[in-house]
Amino acid sequence: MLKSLKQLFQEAKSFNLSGDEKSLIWRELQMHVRNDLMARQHIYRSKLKIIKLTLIKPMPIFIVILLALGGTSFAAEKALPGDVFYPVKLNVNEHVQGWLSLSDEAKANWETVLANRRLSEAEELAAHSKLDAKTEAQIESNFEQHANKAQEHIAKLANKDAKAAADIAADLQTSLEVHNRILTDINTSKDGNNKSQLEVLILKVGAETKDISDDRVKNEDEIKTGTDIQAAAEGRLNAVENKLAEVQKFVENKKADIGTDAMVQIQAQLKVVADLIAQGKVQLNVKAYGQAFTLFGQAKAKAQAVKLFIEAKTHFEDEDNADNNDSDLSEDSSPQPSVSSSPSVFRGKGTLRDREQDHRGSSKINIDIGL
Amino acid sequence: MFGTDTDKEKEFLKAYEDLADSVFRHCYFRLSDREKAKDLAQETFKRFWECLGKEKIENTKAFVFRIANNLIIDSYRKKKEESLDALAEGGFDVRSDDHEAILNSVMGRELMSMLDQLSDTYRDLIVMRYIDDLPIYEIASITGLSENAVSVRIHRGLALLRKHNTN
Repeated sequence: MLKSLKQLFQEAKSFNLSGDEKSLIWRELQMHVRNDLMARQHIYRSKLKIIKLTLIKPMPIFIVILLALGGTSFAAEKALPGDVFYPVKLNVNEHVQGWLSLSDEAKANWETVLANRRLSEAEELAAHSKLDAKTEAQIESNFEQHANKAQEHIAKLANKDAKAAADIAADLQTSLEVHNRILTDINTSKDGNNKSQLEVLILKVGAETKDISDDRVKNEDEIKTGTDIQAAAEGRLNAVENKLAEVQKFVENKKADIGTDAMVQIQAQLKVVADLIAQGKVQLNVKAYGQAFTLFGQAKAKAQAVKLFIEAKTHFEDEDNADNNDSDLSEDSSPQPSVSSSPSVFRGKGTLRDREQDHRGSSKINIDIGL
Repeated sequence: MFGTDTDKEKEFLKAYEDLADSVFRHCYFRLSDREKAKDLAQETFKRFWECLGKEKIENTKAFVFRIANNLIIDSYRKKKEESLDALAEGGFDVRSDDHEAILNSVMGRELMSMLDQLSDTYRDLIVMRYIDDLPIYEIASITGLSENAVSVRIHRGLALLRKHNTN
């Protein structure tokens, strides 16, 4: 039968790129954009270099090497607010990486990573008494943006894959809760201005955590009343068993850095995780899938929290010990060359030596693993 | 500098998400060659990225289609240098194992064979009006023709298409 022109045009409108073709073209475009941004970054860096060479004192040798090797982007990865490379980290590195995330799931995961990064930066600065009001406001605003974007992508994902959305929301909630505790522990060791800045941030993190938790609970309630709850519960069992194995291996590797008391606490927490899994399995056997789903979720969150706490504990407490050792050494040795010979613009607020010096004299940070 | 880049990237991403399929479709129905259509769609977005932030863009869709239109016109010029045999071979070629792409190309085939019988003068405008759903004033702005000339050509092109369809 002869089709009308209208039908033929209508058919033509559904003529699209295939998913693979669309992704492939997008990847090519990303490369193009990345090269363009890098080229412009190079110009920016060259201008900066000229300014430094003409107006400011000679650069420290390691910066010269970094520039010569074109390692700005690499150097920026660990930059903190106030460091000269921090804008590169935010506007080049993270943007370019973010572009690789096409699906809502990938975008939600990426925004989760960024929200956590901002909080880690705040912790690092606060631990070294470098968190001023301006930096706190900047971090708080960036954190809020990423947390909100993560929530938006999680909400979109929930319409297509409720389980994946619930898992990401649970991971985000866990990590924010851990950050909140770490910030509180750091806050306890501080006084004065740094303390008040941290309190503002702690409140913000608490509010975002509550929002995410509310959405997650709502989302999980929908999953529990859905037809796929059995598969969802079994999937979570698999995930939590993998997570527990991962954390146990992690604890084993970090054994040397963890004190005896902390190790007792960790083992107690992992026992709670194992118990929750066992309870979930019982519920699974009696076909109470909704209950099992919740228990496995709690177990996974706790296991993840244990890992994050260990990371924070070993990071902050090791640094604390290193600083004390450094301090002890300097009392006996001859005066060291002054670090202030390096141009302040490159030192920013965050060179390691700066942070070590600033950290001396502050109270010892104690990260409590008791969950 | 960075703030501008961020806005630029957001706009670029949005334009790609919104327009990738329609730009590709536009190129395909004007060129009758899937591979070339993909290349031109990609090139269109590259040019769009380069223009972003440098030119004032009021209507992104019209702007992107204008770039695509210019690239297609360039491609027509090159096409004339090729032999008719090569063109016939290139017609509906899908050089991949992508089943979604193959299925897609079969779907548009009927219309494509009719469009192939039109001169570029009519074909281009018919594609813009009835496949891309562009309003007459935008087509006029993209092609540089008057709105009246666009309407007349579309009318004539449709009459020819109807004739081919009945035959």
